[in-house]
Amino acid sequence: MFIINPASSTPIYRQIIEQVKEKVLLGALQPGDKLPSVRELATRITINPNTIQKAYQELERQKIIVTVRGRGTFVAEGYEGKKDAEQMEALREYLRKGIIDALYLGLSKQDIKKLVHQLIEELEARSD
Amino acid sequence: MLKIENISKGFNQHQVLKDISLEIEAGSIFALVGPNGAGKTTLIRAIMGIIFPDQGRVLLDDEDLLNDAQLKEKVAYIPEAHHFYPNFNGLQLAQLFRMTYKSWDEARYQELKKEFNLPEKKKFKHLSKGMKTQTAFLLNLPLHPELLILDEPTSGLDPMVRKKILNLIVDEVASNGTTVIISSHNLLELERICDSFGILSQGKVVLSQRVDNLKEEVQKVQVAFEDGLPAEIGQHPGLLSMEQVGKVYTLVLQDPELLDLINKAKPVLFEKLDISMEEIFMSVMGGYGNDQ
Repeated sequence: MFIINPASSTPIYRQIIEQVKEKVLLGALQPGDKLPSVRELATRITINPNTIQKAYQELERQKIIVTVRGRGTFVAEGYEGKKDAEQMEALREYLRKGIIDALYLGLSKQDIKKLVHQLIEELEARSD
Repeated sequence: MLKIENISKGFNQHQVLKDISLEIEAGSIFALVGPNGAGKTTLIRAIMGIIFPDQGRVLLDDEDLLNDAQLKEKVAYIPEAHHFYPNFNGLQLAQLFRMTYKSWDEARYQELKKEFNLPEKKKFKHLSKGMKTQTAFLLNLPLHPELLILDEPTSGLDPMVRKKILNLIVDEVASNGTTVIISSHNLLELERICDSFGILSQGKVVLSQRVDNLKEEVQKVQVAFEDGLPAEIGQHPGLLSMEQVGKVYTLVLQDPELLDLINKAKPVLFEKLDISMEEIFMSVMGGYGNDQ
């Protein structure tokens, strides 16, 4: 379910967070779906359990998953984007860096806008 | 929490460990890395009390480990070269452990035994390398150690057994909160399972950090400038390593200020590259070598 690249410059816990989010957005993970326990996932993908715990905690903080004591971890019901100020700032920074990269590639303002639209449409098409 | 405080150890005139201090959080997997002869095994032997350090203390949960036989029962050690009686078979070795350790958990032993499925009537000396390592885990994990020290646990093992051993370590940490110290040269493997690490070089700790933090701090970028690399970047102390091909520089940076400097210098090419722990290790070691 997860493809981890330990040599990536993105820390492993962030790779897990990103992949869970992507799967939820694409509908591959539905609200109420059970996620593997920390121990199960750690041994399945051979990753430090503390790293997985850290990813789960962050996903929980962002209300994408919920942990029910004694039952396990589930994709949250009715997840809606909540615009947390800190996350908005992080997102802004993330997009800003992407735009800088795009400008260095020689893309025009129009090209970038087109690319963003295209990517959103692709994601929407895949989640249908 | 394991605290290593100011450990020094010399043999004859040769100072092998020089004032080593490290803190290892409970329940974490700590990688001890460094070139051959850096003092990794000596440090492990000092933690275990196999050799006595000339100076310094080792504290497990704030208690002095070196002079406390009861506390030492909470520590398990799997050395690279196994030291079991060569003529004992698996069943006899298990009996020896059962009689020696109060903490022996028979149920856990039976569970692991089923999982490993080793030839238990074969003499230890006749087992393959992989089977010997698995026997060592089979005997040590039922002790429910609070601290598990592994010296090169996967060296010379085939990929199947290696994967099995790594998963066993991960499972042990997940289910029992065991603190693990692993010394190894296989950084790619360590990168998956450790959350913090210490680099040892010539008997000193040159860097000790959490892997996540390091990944966010150390970056590798490819840049090119119209008029070559500005001197303020080239001579910045946060620059760990630099390679040049034509106008293109591949830089390993440890200081976010450098990214600002690069940005301000208006590079004609700027690209972030992936960096593995191995490359970070080489960059840090390289930089360290230059200082001497």
